[in-house]
Amino acid sequence: MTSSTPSGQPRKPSLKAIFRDLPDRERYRSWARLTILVLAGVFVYGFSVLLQEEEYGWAVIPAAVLGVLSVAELVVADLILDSRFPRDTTEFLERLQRKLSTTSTHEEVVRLLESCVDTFAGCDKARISSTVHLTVETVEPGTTTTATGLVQISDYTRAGLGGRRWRVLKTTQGIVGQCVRTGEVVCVNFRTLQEYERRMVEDFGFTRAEAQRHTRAARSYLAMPIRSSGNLVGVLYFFSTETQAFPRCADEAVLRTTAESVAGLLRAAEIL
Amino acid sequence: MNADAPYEALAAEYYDERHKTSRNFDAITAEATASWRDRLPAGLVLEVGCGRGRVGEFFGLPSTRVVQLDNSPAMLALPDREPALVRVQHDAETLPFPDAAFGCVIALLSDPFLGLNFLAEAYRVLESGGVLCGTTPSYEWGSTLRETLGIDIMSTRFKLHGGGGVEVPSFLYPAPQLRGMIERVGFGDPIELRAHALPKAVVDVSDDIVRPANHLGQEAWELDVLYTFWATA
Repeated sequence: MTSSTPSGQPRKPSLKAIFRDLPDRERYRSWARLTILVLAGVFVYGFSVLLQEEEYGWAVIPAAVLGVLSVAELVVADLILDSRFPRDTTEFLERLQRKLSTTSTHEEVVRLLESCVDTFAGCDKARISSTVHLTVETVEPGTTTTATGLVQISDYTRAGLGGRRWRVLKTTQGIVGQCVRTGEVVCVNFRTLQEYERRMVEDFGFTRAEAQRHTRAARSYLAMPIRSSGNLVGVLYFFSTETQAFPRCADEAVLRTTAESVAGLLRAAEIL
Repeated sequence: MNADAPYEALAAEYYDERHKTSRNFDAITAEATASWRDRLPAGLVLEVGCGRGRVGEFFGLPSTRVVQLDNSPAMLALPDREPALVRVQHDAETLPFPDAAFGCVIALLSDPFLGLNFLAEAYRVLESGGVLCGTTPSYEWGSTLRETLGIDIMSTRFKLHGGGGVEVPSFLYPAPQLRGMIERVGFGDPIELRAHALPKAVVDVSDDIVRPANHLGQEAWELDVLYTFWATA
């Protein structure tokens, strides 16, 4: 989401913000490359000094370290980190990130979500946040088994309410996961934090530690399937810190139109 | 705390004189709803979140017309209670009754369950022309008190006589939002929504009313602490 200055001019995102917004894989790869570049610089300097001193035997050591670092960069960045996704998915995620960062698609998706929330009635809209998840194939850690996962492709519409973009979720867990598994609209309400903590574990498959990491102030949720050519490709996800907001505050026809519009945008951007 | 029936821990002493805030609310309720006695429509009455039952005391309704509903077994088992046609243990967000079964739904101090789902269910179980009426603590009072106590806006705290306290859900809404919620689920105009302060005759005032009033620069009897609502299906 593009932030604005008080004068209404779009604010240029900081380098830190851009880095933080990268998908985990890209972030880890960038860190690995940066670290390796710094180390390589030190060893290249050492190598050149030793060559000048005609210490050819000793010069083999920095040269060998440089070779190891190059391999490490490949292993860390491309083999270990890529092992989480099948190759098709890796390519899909790269295309997704490229499309979302080089076109206005992400801003358009966020605008559609905000317009949808604007139509809600009988609730405090300032306490509602929303995002879009797309289904992706993931590899179970330590196996070659693939499973359907979900990647969060948009920022939450309410800053501070919701997790960061590019998170990858399991469809075996949570309200969004239940929506993918059943293919139906899912609404859940909790009265208290205690009920939230209990049901997130008992009904939605999270561990206690995972439930603690989520937005614990949320009390009312709605997840709606996004379909393209009849296939479920993602989920529109809304939550409110007020209880009993969903499903009554939302008009199902508006939700469906929003889901169709998001799918249309993603198709137009050749993401789907 | 029993997350499914949070008032369970409070039931045995909820009506005790020592819970001064609750007794102050009784006094406001009696005055604010006095005119309802002659306006309530005919037919079965559903008292939601009934506790020991109050509609006989406040409105003189005969027990043969009243269905009491509460999600707390301990509340429903209180011995000193108003008689009723039947007592039902169930959540207010999904009422276990057929459509158009009641002439009136009454929810006094409805903050533990007040929300769109309850209101929609109340609308569903009311016959055409039936009335939903109730009370809830005002947002002005509750949000100020909770801010000064440093507790979540959607919960309240009761001090127990045996020591310690219990935090229970209590959903407060600003009056315009509450009106919007009642409209949203289908109730038509006119929706009566009024704010009420403590009657001047009440001299033993709870600190939990005095403190927020003073915080807002008002006397305890000036601050609106209770909303009443009346809507027709």
